[in-house]
Amino acid sequence: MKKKYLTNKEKGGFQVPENYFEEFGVRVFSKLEIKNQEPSKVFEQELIASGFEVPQNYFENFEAKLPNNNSKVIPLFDKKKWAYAASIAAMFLLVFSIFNEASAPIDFSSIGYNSIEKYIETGQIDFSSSEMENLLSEEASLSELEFDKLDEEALFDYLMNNSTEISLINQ
Amino acid sequence: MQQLQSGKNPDSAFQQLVNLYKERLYWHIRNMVKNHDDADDVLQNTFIKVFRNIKKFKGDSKLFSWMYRIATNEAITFLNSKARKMNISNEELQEKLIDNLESDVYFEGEKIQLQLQKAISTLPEKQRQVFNMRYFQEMKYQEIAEILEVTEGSLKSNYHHAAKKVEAFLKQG
Repeated sequence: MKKKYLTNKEKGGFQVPENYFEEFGVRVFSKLEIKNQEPSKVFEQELIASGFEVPQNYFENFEAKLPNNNSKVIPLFDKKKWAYAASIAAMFLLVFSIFNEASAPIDFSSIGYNSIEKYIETGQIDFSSSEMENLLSEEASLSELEFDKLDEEALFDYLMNNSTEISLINQ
Repeated sequence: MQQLQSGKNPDSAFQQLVNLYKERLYWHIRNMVKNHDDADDVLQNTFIKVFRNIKKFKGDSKLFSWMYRIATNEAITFLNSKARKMNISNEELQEKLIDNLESDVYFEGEKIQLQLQKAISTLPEKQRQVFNMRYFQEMKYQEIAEILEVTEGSLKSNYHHAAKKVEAFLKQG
């Protein structure tokens, strides 16, 4: 069997250090022994290797010392102080928002057309025909209206549905 | 094997296992990683893995196939990690490994052997594995098929292609 591997080795041109295979088993075992040890033992060995040492039976006697339960616990954040601060801040916010709103000027442009239309439709403002006439004469003259662009059929329908003056339609 | 799995006298049983397979596995790994120190590291890790997982071995395949499979996987993992650390591709790593052979004290191959290694390094990974196992270790196709978990037919085809490429490379050189 060994002869066979020597032949193969020669084929590849590779070589190994002297006594490599004879010593290999020992090295694997020493590695396995370290790897199979408990972690604490390995840790202890590493500490000694790095020069650090611990007092005898240090880890065996180690115990965590907990603080005494009777001592008074001072909270980092006092709830009362937080409540005072929060109420003062809320008060300032409220005052600021009221005064800020009062000082703002009323502007009709900020009211939407739909709102105004709905307001009139629901009868909140009742314009008489003379008032409407005044408004029209103030805002725009009838001559400015472009009647030419009106569709004749639409105009006829409108008059049929809305006007009581039959003579106007006949004209 | 029974001694190892039952836990009775495991040290002695493992020692026997190491003695029986160390050389075969070493050459298998060495052909893959090329360098002796790397081969030694991979071989040690292989046996440590075998020792730790021997109880999981169900006997579905032969023990030697199972150990070869562990060795192959360890070598591939090692090469991938080496390429990643060097920030190069696996192909570039193969070129580097062959370049290093020229100054390797544990490589005393003649010019033709260096050329052969160069030719092998140009093969795809699977073909490289098959060629190494068949040509250098003279393993049977059936054994290789069991280790790599592939059919004998695809192995024969892989070896045939690999051998052709190697031959062509050597003729060029």
